[in-house]
Amino acid sequence: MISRWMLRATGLLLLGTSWEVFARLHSAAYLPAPTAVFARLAALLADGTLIADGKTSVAALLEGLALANVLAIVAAVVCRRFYPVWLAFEPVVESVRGLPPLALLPAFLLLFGIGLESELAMILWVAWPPIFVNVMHGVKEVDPRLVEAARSMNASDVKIFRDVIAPSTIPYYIAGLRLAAGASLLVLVAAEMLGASSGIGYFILETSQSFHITDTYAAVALLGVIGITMSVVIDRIAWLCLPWRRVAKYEWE
Amino acid sequence: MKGHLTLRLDGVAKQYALPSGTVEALAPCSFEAYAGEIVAIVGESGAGKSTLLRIAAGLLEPTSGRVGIMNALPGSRGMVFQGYALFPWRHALGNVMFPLEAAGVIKGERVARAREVLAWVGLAGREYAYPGELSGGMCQRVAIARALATDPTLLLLDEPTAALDVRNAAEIGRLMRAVVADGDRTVIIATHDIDRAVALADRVLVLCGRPGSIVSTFVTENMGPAERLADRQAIVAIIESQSRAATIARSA
Repeated sequence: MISRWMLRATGLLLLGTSWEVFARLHSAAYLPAPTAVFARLAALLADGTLIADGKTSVAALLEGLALANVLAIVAAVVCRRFYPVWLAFEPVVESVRGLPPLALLPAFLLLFGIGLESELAMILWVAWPPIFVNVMHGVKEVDPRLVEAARSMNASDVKIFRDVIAPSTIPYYIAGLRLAAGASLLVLVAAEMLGASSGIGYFILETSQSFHITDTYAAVALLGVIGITMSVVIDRIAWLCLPWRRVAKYEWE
Repeated sequence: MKGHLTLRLDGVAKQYALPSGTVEALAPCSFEAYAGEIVAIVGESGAGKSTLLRIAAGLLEPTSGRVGIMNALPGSRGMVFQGYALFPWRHALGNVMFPLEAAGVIKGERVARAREVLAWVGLAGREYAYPGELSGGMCQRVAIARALATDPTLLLLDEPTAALDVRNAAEIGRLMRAVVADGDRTVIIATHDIDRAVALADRVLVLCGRPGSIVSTFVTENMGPAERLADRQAIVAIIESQSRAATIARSA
């Protein structure tokens, strides 16, 4: 039987093959073949050029996501506990969430300066609302029958929160984390391009301006690898945190 | 009447305050339940069966009237909800341990007790199965095991056979009979399945009207199949006539 991984690999293989064929047929100077891109990526990693920039970007990404998680979860717990806070807070979240984050980048650079602080501020800006909003949505969607069942068994409010509400919201949290991770990578690269002296975004801008196009694509490929790794890690977190969903989710395999 | 009095509802009524106005869900109802008996509450949907059951379970405060429980200690009432209400993230053992955790029972004892109750309902070997991996009948048995974990004197079930096939429904009926067999516990079932109620219960309370009220009581204890069939037909006739009367009153 065809596994999920084989199907996923097939999609990537089709994309890579089409790209390779197109690049070889057209010999486009600004579109090197994937074999050349990945060979260059291996060379840049081997000589350490991209390792330092990659480490800088991944560290900023993880740090920003960790901060966003803490802020979102604390805010969700407070809003769940004190409903008036949620009523006052919801319109603020909804209004700032609609602002395009890249439009705010110049303001963040002025406020936090060039470097890690403005990158972290950007990641925090885009990453915490999806986690917070999803967790709050999850809290709203808790099956009232389960809460009533817990109450019928004399469960305390703390036990109901810990053993009924929190597990109910995990799938929503995972969905929020997935959105936050994708948005964080996007704004990190933009922030590094405009307001940093290291990182993959900075490397992309520098190599494209000096017409080292294969190096640019190699860095983009590295971003793709980081994106896929994040997705796999989040899948793994979901697999570990949602054991009751494995049967229904994977039974078709 | 079999044993001592376990529950007395004295003129309990319930009104809900909704944005559109006050809705009277239950007219004053009174009944008593005794140890060792199964009481079924039957009636149409919306007659207030679940409301009456929730008041008896202590989950709803009546607007008026009194609820008397002989044993009012925590864990003395076990409730089985319509649709099971099992925690999907807890396996069967975890679900059954939940009320024991809430009661502060130490881990070793609650694991042993949960295993014992699961074995009693016929689920030995399925302790680590999640609700999503179990059939409807098995989920209902886990829900019953969870309600029985604290050894309650009063077991209340809301539509326990609504989503089950005939074989599983009969199995749940046998379990209920086993629950009251020692004469210490009372089982109260709210159901719209009149056939099942008449076949299983010792007393059947007929709840009719809107707001619902107990219009008739049938004692079916120690009755043979023919007498139970006659009672079944009488109950259906009562519900149909009440329903017709309500329709005429509404149209008038």
